[in-house]
Amino acid sequence: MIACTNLSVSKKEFSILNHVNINIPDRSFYTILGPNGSGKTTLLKCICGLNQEYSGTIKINKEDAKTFDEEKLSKNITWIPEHLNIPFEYTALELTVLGRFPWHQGHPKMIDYEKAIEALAILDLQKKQNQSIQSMSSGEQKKTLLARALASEAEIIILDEPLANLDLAAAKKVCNIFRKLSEEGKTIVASLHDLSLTYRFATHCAFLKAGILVSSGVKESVFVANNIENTYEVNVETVYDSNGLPHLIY
Amino acid sequence: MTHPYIKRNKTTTRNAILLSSIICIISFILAISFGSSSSNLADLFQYILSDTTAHSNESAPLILMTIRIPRALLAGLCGAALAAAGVISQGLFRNPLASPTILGTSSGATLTAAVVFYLGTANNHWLTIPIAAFFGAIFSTSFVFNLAKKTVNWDIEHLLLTGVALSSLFGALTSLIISLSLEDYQKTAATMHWMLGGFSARGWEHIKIAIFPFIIGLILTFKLSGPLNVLVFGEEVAKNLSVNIAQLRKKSILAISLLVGTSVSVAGALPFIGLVIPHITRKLVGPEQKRLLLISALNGASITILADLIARTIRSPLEFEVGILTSLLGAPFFLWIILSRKPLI
Repeated sequence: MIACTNLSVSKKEFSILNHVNINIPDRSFYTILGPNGSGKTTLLKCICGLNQEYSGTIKINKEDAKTFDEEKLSKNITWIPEHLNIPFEYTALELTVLGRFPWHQGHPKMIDYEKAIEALAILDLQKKQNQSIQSMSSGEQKKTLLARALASEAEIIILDEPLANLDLAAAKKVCNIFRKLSEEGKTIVASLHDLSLTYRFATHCAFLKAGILVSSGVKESVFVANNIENTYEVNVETVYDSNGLPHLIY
Repeated sequence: MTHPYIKRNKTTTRNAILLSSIICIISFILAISFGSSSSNLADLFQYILSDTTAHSNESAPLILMTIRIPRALLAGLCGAALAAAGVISQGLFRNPLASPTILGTSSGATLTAAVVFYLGTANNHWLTIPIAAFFGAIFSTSFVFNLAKKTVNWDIEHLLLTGVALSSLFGALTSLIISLSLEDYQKTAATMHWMLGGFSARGWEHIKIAIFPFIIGLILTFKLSGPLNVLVFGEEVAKNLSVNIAQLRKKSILAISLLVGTSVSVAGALPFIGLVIPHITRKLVGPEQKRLLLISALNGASITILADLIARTIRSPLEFEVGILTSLLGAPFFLWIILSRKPLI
């Protein structure tokens, strides 16, 4: 359980996050939605301890996140940023094994390779595991970097725009994997731009606009036309299909 | 039971290490076999095996023991140290172009050592110059690092330009010091001779200076290679993977400065060894830091021993400075790397 209370971040005189209260329950696939510059990345960075300059509190399993040391943080939370610039020609497998550094401290064992190979296989990269990341397409690179999340033993996985650069099928597959991981006991927090995939796979979501939380909670209660209109400033129409299920058109 | 991947990985690594070691040993044997006087290994063995009074060529073993062996050893040590420093700086700066020459580490070390020469304190203690060079190296590397850190994404232009600016500044200051000491002919000659670098007139006393800093520096670099691997993800992810970035930075700069400072203090700058060797080795064995470090150190040793051999035999009995040779070969290589760089993700 991650509980952010009165979370505020400002850089110089600009307010990036403004008194955000958000509760992320265990075993959820929690998506953070909002327009560009709404503070999604900052919120995620605060949760995983990379941005310590906030006011308010973040509690992870009822403990104040600021009291966590590096090792404890790294074993509890895995952070997958949106962009990564890998300057050398590491192979997909080498990189995924490196992602398990908190557990092997630079001396990877059998289990580390097994978990990494398994993670790459889940993302259909088993044939590319010995290929250098620089020779891959941007979608494959993205999947390679996501494999780290699957190989990790951390209970909480935080991802910034994990679907960027992925095609429709891959994006759907990745969302499906996240949902499954959350059902298996992990907590997945991801910022997304794809509303329909969120609606289909997420368990919870939150709408952020200009650093202010518009609405948050269980997907079914938050995902309503009103919230989307307020967040993105677009007109939304609700239609009902033959089964009586609501669909939002925007 | 080990995973087949680990096994395969270990076998290739072992083969690469074996090959590099053999090349290194061959270079060493070649280096002590050729020179302006015709003495070779056979003479040495004959000297060791035979009765000391009985052999015909008195000077041959003496040349080997007092000149060629320490000289080749020192060349190997300096080459290994510079290559290792190159591997660490490329890892720390996350940039395949970072190296002691490009970052101004060597010129910083040269400047402080030249100051010590000028002040005449060099004769006081055999550790004076190495210590001065170490501090020069540490200053210039931290300076470039702190400037590079301020720029977004560590872009290569900033890094290179900072290194170039710093190198020219240090170069100019070093020239200033030499011109100040021109009146004292002996002092100028000593400074110039040392600055041009190379291994002529280097003997066991120089190995005595260099051996411990090199060993400490190399051990430190091996310890850093685990976290430096993680740094390939960038500082934020490395931090999330429990790497203590501040400590890694400090220790890396310390190791680089120890290796480069010591090498500069005994043999001058030897430009481009720290750039070219890690670069080629990475192409051959991949970027994994530990493997890259070990094999680069061996290759650095071989190349420097061979470069020194060429420098002293090509117009024997005269020699030219090995630093000139490494520049002549290294600078075009550096240009080639810049021109053939692929855009990154």
